[in-house]
Amino acid sequence: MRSKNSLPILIIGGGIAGIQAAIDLGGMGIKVHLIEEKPSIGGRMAQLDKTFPTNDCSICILAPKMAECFRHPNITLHTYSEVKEVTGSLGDFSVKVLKKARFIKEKECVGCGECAAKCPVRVPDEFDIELRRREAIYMYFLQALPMIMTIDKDHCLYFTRGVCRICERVCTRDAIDFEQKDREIDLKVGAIIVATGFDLFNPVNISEYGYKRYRNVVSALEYERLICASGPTGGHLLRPSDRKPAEKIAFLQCVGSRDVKNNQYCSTICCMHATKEAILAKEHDSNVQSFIFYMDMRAIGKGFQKYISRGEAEYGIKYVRGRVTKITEDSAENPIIWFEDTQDSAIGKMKMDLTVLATSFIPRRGRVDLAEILGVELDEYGFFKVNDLTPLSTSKPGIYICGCCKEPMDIPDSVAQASGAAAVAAEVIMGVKG
Amino acid sequence: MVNMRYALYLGCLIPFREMNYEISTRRVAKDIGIEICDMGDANCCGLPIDSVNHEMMTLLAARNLCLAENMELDIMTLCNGCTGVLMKVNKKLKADRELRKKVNHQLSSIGMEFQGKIKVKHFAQILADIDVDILKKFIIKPLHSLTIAGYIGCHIFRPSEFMEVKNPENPSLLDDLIKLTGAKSVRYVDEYQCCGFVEGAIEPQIPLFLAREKLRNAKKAGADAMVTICPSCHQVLDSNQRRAERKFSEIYDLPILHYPQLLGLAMGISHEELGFNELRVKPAKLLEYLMEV
Amino acid sequence: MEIQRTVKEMYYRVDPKFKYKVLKAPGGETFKFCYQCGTCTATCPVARFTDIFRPNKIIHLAKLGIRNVTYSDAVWLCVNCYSCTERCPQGVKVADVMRLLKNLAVEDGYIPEFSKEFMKNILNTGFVYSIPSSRISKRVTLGLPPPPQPKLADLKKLGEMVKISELIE
Repeated sequence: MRSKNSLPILIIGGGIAGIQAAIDLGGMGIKVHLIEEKPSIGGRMAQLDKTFPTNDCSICILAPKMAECFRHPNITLHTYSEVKEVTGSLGDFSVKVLKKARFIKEKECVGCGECAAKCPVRVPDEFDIELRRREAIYMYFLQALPMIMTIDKDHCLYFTRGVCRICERVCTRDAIDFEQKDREIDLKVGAIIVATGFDLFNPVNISEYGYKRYRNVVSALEYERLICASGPTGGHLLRPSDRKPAEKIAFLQCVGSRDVKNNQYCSTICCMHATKEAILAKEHDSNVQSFIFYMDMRAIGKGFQKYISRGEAEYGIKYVRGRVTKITEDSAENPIIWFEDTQDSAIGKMKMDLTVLATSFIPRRGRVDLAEILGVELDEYGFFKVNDLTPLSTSKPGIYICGCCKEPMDIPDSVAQASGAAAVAAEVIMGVKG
Repeated sequence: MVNMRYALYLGCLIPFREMNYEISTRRVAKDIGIEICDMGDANCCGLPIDSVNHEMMTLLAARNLCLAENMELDIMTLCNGCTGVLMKVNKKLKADRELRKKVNHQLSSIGMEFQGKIKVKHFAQILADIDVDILKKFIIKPLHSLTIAGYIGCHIFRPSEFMEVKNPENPSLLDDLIKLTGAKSVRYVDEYQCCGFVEGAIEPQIPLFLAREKLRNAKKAGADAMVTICPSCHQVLDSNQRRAERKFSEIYDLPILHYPQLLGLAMGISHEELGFNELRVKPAKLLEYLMEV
Repeated sequence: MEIQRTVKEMYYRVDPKFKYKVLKAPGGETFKFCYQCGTCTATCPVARFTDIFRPNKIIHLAKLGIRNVTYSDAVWLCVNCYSCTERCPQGVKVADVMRLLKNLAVEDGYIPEFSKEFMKNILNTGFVYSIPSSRISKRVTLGLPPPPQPKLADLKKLGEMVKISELIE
């Protein structure tokens, strides 16, 4: 056993997995640098309305963890930042981090939003998946941490046309700084944890479903925003075409998953989140009738089958075993679902108010570059590669992994892996390895 | 004028039941500058008996390919079914050595050998591959006032893996060709679904149901006429249209043109020369309308 | 007792090796990947108008070794339009499997009348339909060149190569 390594640990990705790993390491007295490319930590979980199978409010259970991570004396947050270069090896890595300019003095800004209220620009909002428009100076989301503004350089009138600067005039704390530059910082770390999460399959690729062609065909994540109280419709389940309440809803499973033309793997959580989403719809409006079109019901986990049975018995969800072959639309923009109910060999079509596509989990954009920077391997699907008996270690010693950048998984599994990754990474610092 | 020569493969339906397709193709091809050489010794492409014996189908198709190889010409087809079979067998024999050896052994009994020298193309594909600016010069009477529902059929783009179609859910081949004539091309529900012609032999009611759907959907989309590029589709939609009207007690009265007939009109060729008289659903109103504008 | 007899009868009618036969033949290679999602059936232009044609069920029965499935009209209802093949999420070449099942039925001596007719016409005339002489004279009236006249001796020889007469007699 060598002597103790006093270097901090680098965590890439500030979603629930990265946050959990940071809190665990911080609690062990180890210093952590947490890198997040978005203006706030929180990740995908912050975009969800509720979690299954307990229907807990997602942000309500996430926000305390975000706050703990944000305030922790051992954790240094680098939001709006990217890893650019990694050299060295286990126990002694040198990392270059690009801290993108947000044109805000972080210490001065209190996130009051006076600037955004006066900003004349409107652009599609990324966090609400373009269902809402935001200003060029914006807070990433309501509960963002750090709770400060960011200027979107690509759309800000000052940066694009050299005019405006209204935000600068209205800010009472003099927190706007148009002169801010991107800067690079160098970090020395003993180990690295990758927790970069996942992206979602773009269902435009399955053109027979008409996503983006039909306004009332939405992805499951868009649906989460539509039904969320802090979402673009204020939590009223209104369909996009005419903002009328959606009362007949179809949930289509395996969109891009278990499909040789797209992703052959099962995304593992869609059976559950579709059930959750259908239950939520019924809780919002008792007139709602939901149909879930599935191929195999994969309720793998404690209490999950019970959740589905409850959905069927108490919330009247109709589970139809059959994959939808196409969606057409009538003159009132109602999606029409074409399918075979394989349990009684009946071929049918059904008119819906809204259709929700359970899109496949796919490897995160940018992971090829990141894998190259880190010098680790990706698997055949593009997720980070691990060995069966060391499921938290990448192909390079000292670089560990947790959550959905490894494969699709639900929140509890991501959190469990995060604690695991924190433990193996801590060994480097505690002096067992390296 | 483009300068091209093709061996024309007619198949079984066109020379005896869909002569207007052949007439209009020959007429249009002549003006564009595509020289047509007849394949005097051609036999059935093989598709109808693929379900009986796959090997026999392959041999029948291979024989046709050899005939064209002897003429040293690429094949021009007019029927989607023939196109699919001849293209598929041609590709398979070119790629699969074992199969080629076996087939050539069998073909030697009739003194033929597959050499893999030629290509198979549907007339529509040949037109689509010609520079659109060259083709536009032939359009002297653009059909701006017409709204056309194209019905492309199946085997010209399915299976997409073999037919090398980039967007099998939305093939643009016929759509583009209709737009070339100046006519408006409309989309309608189920436009890429099979006509069911083959079903005529076993369950004759089914093609009528399928024809009804397409005719209704095309009319609903505002089509003045439909255009096909396959004699089978034409049989179902044109020859069967009256039967479908009787069965469902509905009136469609929707003229079904072969694509070369539509193209010919736009090229200023008279409808008599394009075999319009042979159509079952008489396009009198359509022609009158065109005369007026 | 009645039930027992039926079960036994059915059991003996099951051919567990049938699936291997399908897998080995050209066109059948992909059929084992089917997971019964019903996309083919929902896509099928024919299935909507008949109760007896369900491509996914036919594949299921073939997998189980219920060879009788090929002796019914069910497989012959396939129009071979490839819509199913195009959309199958498992890459099963459904239309090719249907074609293969028909071929295997013919091998077993089940061949529908119309197919027999087609094959005979091809051997006798070179075309799949018998051609009335009125059509040939009509071509002359319309100013069209004479129709193709395939060498029937060639076709007969090709037929002998694959022993086609054994299949259609």
